[in-house]
Amino acid sequence: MRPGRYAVRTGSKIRRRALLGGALGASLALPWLEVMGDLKRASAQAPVEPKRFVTFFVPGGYYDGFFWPEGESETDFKLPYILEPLAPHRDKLLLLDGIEVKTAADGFGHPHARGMSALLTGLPLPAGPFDFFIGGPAGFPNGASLDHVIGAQIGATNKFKTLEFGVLWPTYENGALPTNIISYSAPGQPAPPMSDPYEAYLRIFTDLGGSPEQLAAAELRKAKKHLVLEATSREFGAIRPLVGVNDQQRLDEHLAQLKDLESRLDLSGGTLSATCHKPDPAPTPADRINYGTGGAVGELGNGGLDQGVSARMPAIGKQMMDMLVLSLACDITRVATLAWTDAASRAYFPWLGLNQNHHYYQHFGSAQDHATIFNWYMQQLAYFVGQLAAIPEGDHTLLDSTVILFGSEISEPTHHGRTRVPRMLLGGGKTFNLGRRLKFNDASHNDLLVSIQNSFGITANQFGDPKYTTGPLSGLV
Amino acid sequence: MRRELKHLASLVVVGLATASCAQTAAPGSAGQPAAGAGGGGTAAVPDPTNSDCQALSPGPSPLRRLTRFEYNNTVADLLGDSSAPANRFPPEEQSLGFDNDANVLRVPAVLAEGYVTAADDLSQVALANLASFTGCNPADFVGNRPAETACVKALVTRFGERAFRRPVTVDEQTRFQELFETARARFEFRDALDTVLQTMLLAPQFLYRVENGSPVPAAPGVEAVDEWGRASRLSYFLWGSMPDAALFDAARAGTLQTSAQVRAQAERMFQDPRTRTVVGHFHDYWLGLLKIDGQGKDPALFPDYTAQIGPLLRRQTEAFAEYLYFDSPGDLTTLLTAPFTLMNGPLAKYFGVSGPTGDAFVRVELDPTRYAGVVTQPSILSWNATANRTHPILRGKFVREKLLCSSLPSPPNNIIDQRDSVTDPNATERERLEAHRQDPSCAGCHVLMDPLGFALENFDASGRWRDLEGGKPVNVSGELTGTDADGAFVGPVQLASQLARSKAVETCLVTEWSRFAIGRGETAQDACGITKLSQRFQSSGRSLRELVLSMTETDAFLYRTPPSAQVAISGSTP
Repeated sequence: MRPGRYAVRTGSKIRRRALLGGALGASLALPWLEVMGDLKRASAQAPVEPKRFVTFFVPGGYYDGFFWPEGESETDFKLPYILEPLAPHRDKLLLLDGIEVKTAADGFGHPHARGMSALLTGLPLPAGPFDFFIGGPAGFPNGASLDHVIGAQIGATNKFKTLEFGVLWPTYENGALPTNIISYSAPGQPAPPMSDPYEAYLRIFTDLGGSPEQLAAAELRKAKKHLVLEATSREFGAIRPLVGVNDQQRLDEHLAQLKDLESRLDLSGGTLSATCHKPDPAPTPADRINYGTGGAVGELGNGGLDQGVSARMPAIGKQMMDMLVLSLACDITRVATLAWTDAASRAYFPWLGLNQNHHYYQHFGSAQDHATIFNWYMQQLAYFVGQLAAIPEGDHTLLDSTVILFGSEISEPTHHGRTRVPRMLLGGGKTFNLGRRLKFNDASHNDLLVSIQNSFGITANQFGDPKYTTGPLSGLV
Repeated sequence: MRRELKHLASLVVVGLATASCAQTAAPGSAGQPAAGAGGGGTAAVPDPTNSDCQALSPGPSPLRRLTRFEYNNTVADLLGDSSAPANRFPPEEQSLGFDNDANVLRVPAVLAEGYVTAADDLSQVALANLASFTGCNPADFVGNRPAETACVKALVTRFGERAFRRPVTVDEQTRFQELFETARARFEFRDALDTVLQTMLLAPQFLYRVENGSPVPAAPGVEAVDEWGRASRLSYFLWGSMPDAALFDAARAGTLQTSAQVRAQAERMFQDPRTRTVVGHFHDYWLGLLKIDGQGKDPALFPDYTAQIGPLLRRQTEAFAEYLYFDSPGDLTTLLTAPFTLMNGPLAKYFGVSGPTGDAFVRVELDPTRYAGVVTQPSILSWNATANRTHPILRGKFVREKLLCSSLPSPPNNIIDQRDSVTDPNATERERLEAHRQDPSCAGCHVLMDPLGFALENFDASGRWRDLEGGKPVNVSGELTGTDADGAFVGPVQLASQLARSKAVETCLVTEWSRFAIGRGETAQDACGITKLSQRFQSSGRSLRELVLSMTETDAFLYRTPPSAQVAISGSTP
């Protein structure tokens, strides 16, 4: 990594933020990135600073032979079946073959849980209250995830420091679990995904656009909400001394969320422009996913998401991806995760002609059927990358300033492998040297997290469990 | 071929399987509380400082937060708003199967935001009719600031007492008055009032069950929960909602001081339909019934298992439980052995039973050689199966964990389901599990589960009776081991009658209700309470109604460990 380069960039970021503080909401007709476009970037050769971080999580791993290109060449390789959909974006991806989730050797919880939890935390799971079929009862990882760490670093001026999108959440009714969460806002504090497109729409895009009357009403609500949240903080302060030490910690956690919410009330929920608009068509109440009491979980083939809901996955996935792209284009957030489903997913894929759920194919079905599912997921990733690439931003595209981390929680599904896990980086302009396939010899996944955090100006040489962190991965830049 | 190699590899791994099941088998037979799975329940060893069970021992008293169920019910009672806004909140973290374990509930950003959105929405609806909500008619005096202030003051006193479930303090009254005045300087009367109402609905006094207590002179380190707190404990346990006027009156009048007074209120409340809902809710979580709603079955094998069937099966078990707790002198033996169930018209059609029509669930007599109580409820049999086949391991695990409260150790990592490695396509599920018996490293644990599941092989993956599996008669012989009711059995009815003899099952049900009632897993300090409850349960003839009511007379229900004595849990997770 090149620390000096990012140190310089940090300075320009501060100036930009100060400017924004003054001009906020007043007259920015264009997304600020266009207005504030770094003049030095006028040359197409100039590096594009990463400004956004997206994690794209797909469960289920791959069978040997379906995911990694053969041969040794860094640049001359053939994309195997699963990755074929990414061919149009080949020069924007960096395949990382040989990454091991070393933390999965330690701690507690099912291997699916260990891999999913470690994806963005780099941590093993502690012992805890959540029972698993194998691996021992586990709790949530004791650290914030990379998306939240980066969000705290770069998201100060955005309506949302981070956004967590889900597509289907088959274990919804079992609540947050180490098998269905990749984001943690603080140690042991899961940040569950938005799993209902209409709810996500209401949450993210309510402030965008609107008639003068709607905007005036929104202003009044906002003004009242400031008073309400300040007064609520006072109530928390009054109650705090009446409860025990653990409960004080619970209330503090709750209050911290309210304070964060209040600090963001006045941040722009986006300004309409050529590239920033509401989702079209916007999700409606008819798009709600009635998880209701649905969403079964069990072990080894037991349970499953209602097949009717599963059948909506392509449509919901597109809605969620489109909203993610727009929330970046509108600068409503700069950090987001998209988790397609839980680990050990019970989602069904009837549109692929497959009549069993994903987890079934991870253990019993044919490797080809399993790969068919993963190939479909890669089609979705290709769509997402294509959407980002279609949005101009100065002399480059949104994709060029977005670092996408792609990952799955395991490699070989039958035995829940933790070596050669699916990992790649996409986008990110000149941050990383793209268009290549790198081979590592069981390099630690934590080192990849370090490389990513470094690219956002966080210079620490360590992320997650220090036992498995040696510094940034070599050869990425 | 590649797959088979993998299976062989896994067999090697299986060699590492723990042999620890022998030591961690079913709970003791002497009325000992069982250790719960998942680290929450650790009451196997009673409190050595209270060996004669004479000392008051409430156990830990963590701050409880309203669950989605409780939030919805509360706003319905408080504001008459039946929009169920908590359905939009993220689901609770669950431990020991329940949604109300105070030790694991967290407040992620989406929940904090959900509360803010719900408070706003609820307030707008409530304030749509200002006169009816405030009890004064603002049209008469808006602009007359002293009159406005008086109106708001009266509202805070009256509404605050119901929202906070105790009288508002002088300081609270002052703070809300100040908030109103600050807001009123900028906004219209209605909008200023809106800020007060929203704040009340976001305050910890509303979202959490903040309690007060007073020292018990004879029991250092223990406090009696005050009567407002006891009123809320009663209402949230028995109704999943805030206290009603009679409970508030009792708290105000000081008539919740003795356990007999509390018990009397519980008996009154038990008559209210809201307790039925709570009993259904308890069974949803205890038995994992919610898992069935989204579970589909292979349409090629079970064409009439439509999307409606799962929820109906769940409702059937709820109705069966409600019948036992409310509509008959139900006892544990009946819960475990009843040769009847409840069905409505659509379910009767599904099962080919004549009698019930319409949507109401009514009692239906079943063949007593086939059906016996809760283990033969199709809901449980169906969700403990896959889409296309039965799953004796899961069914056996269910009986061990949910009915015997056993904690089964996890299988070794990287184990895989080997049922498909049996090459004979006509092999029965029982035959596919033969390896568990042959391999000693598997047998240690699986002997506790598989044979119980075998007894239930008369029920197919959709929960319906079958005599044949793949053309062969089903072998339903098995053996119950490691319990106080050991013995061989043949079929579901004999299994059920053995369970009905087991004191461990009795203690297990007491333990499950206790977890639900006090909102946490049991600890050593609860051992005496659970023993007393078990004795009470036995002497009542194992009356289910008595079991629920006696929950309200325990130390854990009436007393608390004061906040100053709360033991800090190390680490970042409270």
